[in-house]
Amino acid sequence: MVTFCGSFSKMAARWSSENVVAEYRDLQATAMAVDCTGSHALLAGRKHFALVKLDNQQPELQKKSVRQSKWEVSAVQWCPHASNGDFFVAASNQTAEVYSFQDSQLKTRSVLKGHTRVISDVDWSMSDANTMATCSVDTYIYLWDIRDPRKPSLAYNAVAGASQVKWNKVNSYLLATTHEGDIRVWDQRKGSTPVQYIAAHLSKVHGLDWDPTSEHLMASSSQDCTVKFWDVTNPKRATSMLKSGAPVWRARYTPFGHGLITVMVPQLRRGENSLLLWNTDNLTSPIHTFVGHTDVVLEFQWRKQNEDNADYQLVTWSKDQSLRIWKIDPQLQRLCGHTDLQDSTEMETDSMSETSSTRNSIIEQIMGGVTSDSLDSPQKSKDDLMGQPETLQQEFLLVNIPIPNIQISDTDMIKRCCTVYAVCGNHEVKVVVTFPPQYPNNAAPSFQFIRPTSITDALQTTLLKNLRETSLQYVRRNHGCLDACIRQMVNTLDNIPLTEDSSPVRQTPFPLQSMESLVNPPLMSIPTYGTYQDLNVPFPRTSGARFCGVDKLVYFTRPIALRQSTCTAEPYKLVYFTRPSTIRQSSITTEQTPRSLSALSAYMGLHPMNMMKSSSQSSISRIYAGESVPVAPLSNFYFKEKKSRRSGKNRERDLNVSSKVPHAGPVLIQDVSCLLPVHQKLAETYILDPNNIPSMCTRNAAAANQVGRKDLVQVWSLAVLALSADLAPSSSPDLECPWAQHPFGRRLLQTLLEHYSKLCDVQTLAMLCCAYGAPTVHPEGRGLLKSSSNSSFQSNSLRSGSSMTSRKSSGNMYGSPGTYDTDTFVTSGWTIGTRESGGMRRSVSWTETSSPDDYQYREYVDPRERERELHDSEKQLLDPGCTLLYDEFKKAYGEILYRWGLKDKRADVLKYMSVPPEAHKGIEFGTKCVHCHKDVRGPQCASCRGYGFQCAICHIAVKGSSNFCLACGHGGHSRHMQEWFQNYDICPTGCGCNCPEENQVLESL
Amino acid sequence: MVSVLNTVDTGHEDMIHDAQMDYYGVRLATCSSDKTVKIFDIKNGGQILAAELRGHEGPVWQLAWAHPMYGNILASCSYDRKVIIWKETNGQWDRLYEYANHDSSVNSVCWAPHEFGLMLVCGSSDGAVSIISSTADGQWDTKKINNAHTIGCNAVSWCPAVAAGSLVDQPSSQRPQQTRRFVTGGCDNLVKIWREEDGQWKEEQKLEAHSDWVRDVAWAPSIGLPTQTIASCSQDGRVIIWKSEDGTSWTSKVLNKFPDVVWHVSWSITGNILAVSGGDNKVSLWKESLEGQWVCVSDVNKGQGQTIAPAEPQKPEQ
Repeated sequence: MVTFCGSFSKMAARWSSENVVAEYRDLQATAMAVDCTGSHALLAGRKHFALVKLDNQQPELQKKSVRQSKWEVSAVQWCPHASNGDFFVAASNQTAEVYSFQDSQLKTRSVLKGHTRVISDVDWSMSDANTMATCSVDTYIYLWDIRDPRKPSLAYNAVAGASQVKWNKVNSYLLATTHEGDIRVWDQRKGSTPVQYIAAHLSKVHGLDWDPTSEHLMASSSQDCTVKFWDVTNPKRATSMLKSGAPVWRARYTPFGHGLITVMVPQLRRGENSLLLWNTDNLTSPIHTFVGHTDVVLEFQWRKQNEDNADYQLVTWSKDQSLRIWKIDPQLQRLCGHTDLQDSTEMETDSMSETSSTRNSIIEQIMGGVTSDSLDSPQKSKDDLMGQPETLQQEFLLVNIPIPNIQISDTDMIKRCCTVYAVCGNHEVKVVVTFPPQYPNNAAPSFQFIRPTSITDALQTTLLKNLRETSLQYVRRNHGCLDACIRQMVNTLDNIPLTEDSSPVRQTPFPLQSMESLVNPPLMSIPTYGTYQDLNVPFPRTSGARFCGVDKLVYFTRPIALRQSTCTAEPYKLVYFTRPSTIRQSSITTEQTPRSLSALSAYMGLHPMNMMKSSSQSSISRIYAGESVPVAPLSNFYFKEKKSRRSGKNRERDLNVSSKVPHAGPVLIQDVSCLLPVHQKLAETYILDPNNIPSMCTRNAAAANQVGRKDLVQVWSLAVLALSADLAPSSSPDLECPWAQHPFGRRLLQTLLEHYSKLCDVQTLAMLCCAYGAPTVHPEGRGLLKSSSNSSFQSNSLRSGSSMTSRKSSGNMYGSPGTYDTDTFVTSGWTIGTRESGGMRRSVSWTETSSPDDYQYREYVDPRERERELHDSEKQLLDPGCTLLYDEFKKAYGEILYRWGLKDKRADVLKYMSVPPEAHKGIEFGTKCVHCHKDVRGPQCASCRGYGFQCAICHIAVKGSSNFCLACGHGGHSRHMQEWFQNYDICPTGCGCNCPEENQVLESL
Repeated sequence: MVSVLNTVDTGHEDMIHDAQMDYYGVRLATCSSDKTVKIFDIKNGGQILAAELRGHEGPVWQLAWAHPMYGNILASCSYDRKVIIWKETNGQWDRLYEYANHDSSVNSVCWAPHEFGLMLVCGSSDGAVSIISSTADGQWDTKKINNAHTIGCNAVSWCPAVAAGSLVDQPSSQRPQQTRRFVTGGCDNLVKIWREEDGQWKEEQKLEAHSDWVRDVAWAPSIGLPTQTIASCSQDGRVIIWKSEDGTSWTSKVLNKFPDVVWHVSWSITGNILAVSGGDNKVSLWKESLEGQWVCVSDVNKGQGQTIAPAEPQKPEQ
């Protein structure tokens, strides 16, 4: 049962601070969240979700819901928007689940699945109640719309696992994530790469928080015992740093003033379990310590402040299983730089007055007596003067910048001056700042460099200019400027390029390049290889296999030596070994090859540019070889360790191998023809002979027998029988049912084709289609070759328009004489068959569905002719409806034959195409306008209006019937050509082509 | 069984990222992290270095030979954000065209079927896909699909020049309209099919099944059958076979889940064998049985005198 001991106790703290304590031991909660109204807290553990009503007197356990899971809840958060105020998200293992508490019933709203590893953090958008972000050790950051839980609405990828994700509190597009020691800032509007990348800490960043009022400021807490404050626009350097004695688990801004709450990671249970409250303007010591928890504070959140209550309340949940509520009274708030409570809105709108008021509060605390006047004189108008240090002395005292290397000395109130001394790299800067008597009322101080300032004159000028500008900005508004000026100076000095450090600047008074480099900071040359910019560049393939030609497989792998020295995927581990903490977390991913190229940067340590600079160094090889580790000491360590685990013999071999590792493995070309359904040998021996079908089939059967294709022997033997001349259909539809309609006819063939389709045996498919079909004769093509009166300029439309009639007659005119009625086979050409089947299939509706033009002429076909056509299609063995499909088989097989170099065989097959093969178009393509060199499709060039082709004899543009040589492309009017070739054998243009002979060769194909 | 015909020592100074033979199988092109592309004459089992193409400023990721009807043309893409189209004239290889309109590494190039003209598609880590085509007068026309894949595009592959699913039912005598399509794979774990419509490229399909970056896609060559097949492989170790009868609805089937990333899938010319290779440095060949199961038929690494257990043909997940 619930043990509940809500006690009310006075804290034994440095300042008195009441708190409320409630213990819930049986919940074993690991996460806690306070809802947006501040009325409830949710405790989530492996077994339960518990809703606790927060009460100033006694928290009350309102609802306990059993949750049976073997996974702990890693993060839980309430929706911060009142519209979805009863929604909360709980992440456990790889899923995030959205629940709602409605009428004290727990309901599952959506389950967000997408991550492949444990979700480390969730954060609900500050601007949209339906949007949230999750991050995981699987290196992904997903944005979700909870209404569409199927997949993330946006995905970002980082190479390292993410531990925190936080939306910016001001700009709804920005979010920040932490990855080990780094912080990445993402902008939803700007693609999938981070807009900012901060190498923040030396160790893992545990916590991250955006400033509640400023878009650019954030605080990060880390294992390296520091909290750093960042301006994300300047990722190179933290604006300030808080040093803590122990690793910092969380650091979060207070909702008031300039406060910050931190929680430590206790070391071996001896550490502080207390929460510390800091003022970010003074990071030397905390303002307040919240003492009470006896174990690690797991979570702390702010309760929304009641309007009638001036106190802010902090709700904490600790491993000691107690929930505590701490009150932050106005006194404490003031210590954090909070202005008076009534003008909180003003504070947010005017950051200027806020900062100044901050100062005032500090003065109150730090300077005590000096500022007691201001506290004791409430009649003073607050907004103007209260924020301002009254005197220069106050300002001096206030300049408390925790920036190392900056020193303020010789503050002299009488002379109204001070000395600022800064050290930056090799440089020293000492500036005397003198304040005029009117200061800060529109009177800027003057700056003067004194010895031992070592920066160049040019730099001094720049610095001076910056300082003047900054100071003027402030004094115009009657504000003190010393603080700002010092920060400006530090910034400027920080921007001095590092390269200068090594150069002996002190000796050279006017080093020109330093000024240049200041103006143009050295840009990274574009291709930086293996840096974070390569996050989304896939990790290079170092092995691969590709089918080439018909039956070759080309493949390459990493050099054998590398493979052996590094076993399977071990080399990749390198990538992770520079960061030991990742290994523990992601032992699964380390087994895998990295995804992105940026993984190389981790390996290459401090020299991501190596790759691009020297061609001799091969970093990809190195990642596999792993021996010549350049810098990263941890990887070195790893390799020592790895070697010591091995036997001495192996180690020697490894070392030998590493001394001369070939950088590229061989490329192998393999013959995989045995795996393919097509055979080159078969292709060579197969024949197509429309004049003697049975003998052709017999010979093909023998060919199949030779290569051991027993199945094909049977297929061809069957073909001998099925194509027997005795079975040739009669031309009259009235006599008998054609053989094709017999089960051994078309149906048998179709079964065969289906079978070989499944096997992808395009060779057999095409050959069967040819054998059971017949070569198509194209009258226009034939005419062309025969130099008859046929214009090669005939357009496609003309051709197809006239083809109907000419095709029909072609059967009779060009049908090859055979032992059987070839007519049937010849008319199996595409036109009739296709149309017929089209009509048959659409038995009723074909006239409506088809284009009228297409079928127009059929309207007045008399019934007998129609019956005959029907018969024509029925008597074919090949289904006329599939003619185009069969053509594709032939085409595909022709392509393979071409690759084998069997061009004759290819031509044989393509003769059986029902549609004229592409090659015939060559004649049409061939004409190029002599004037503008564009392809001409008709007699006239479309672009220059010149006539495309001139007769080789009369040099007049050819419009009518013409003839061309297929070999040299010359020609002209048919009549002229005929006359010429009666007397001569060579081309009239004098190109040397023996046109009649060449064309005969082509024709004989 | 499978025999090694030729072993080419490329002499590259760094890892090889792609190797391809030309149409006739007489030349081999390789590219490497040493920023070069090398072309070898490999007739009759020999190896003669025919050319060494320098011009890229970063590792060269992938190559593509154009159809020989356009001459000897090779395209290469590189980390340096450029695509270079090389052409041989009289034995001399020269830069024919350079395309530098990507903002990040260009990871994949693929020539369109020759029926569409000289047309190249390239996918880049900037998320965009570019379509470069040669116009008649030697100029190059470029189109770009921005944000084709968020985070980045890793692979491209053309659909063969056969109109899907329309061969049998074609009612009239016209040849079926050849639709231009290609498939891409990217860091958003998606496989996308793009179709040209009135000169504009539009996303036609979005295929979701992978749980990590898609590393390669390959549209199977057609032998004329109406079924379209695409293979995709991913960082998640899965190889997925996508099939469609009508070109609009696609069904997926996991061929296998490999223990490490799968980098590359390649179809045989008959479209029934798939070569799979990945981070584990192994190559395996897969074939679909008549029952529709994918089985590992061969492990070509045997040829290297190194015995590696066949890539455990686990039962496909689906």
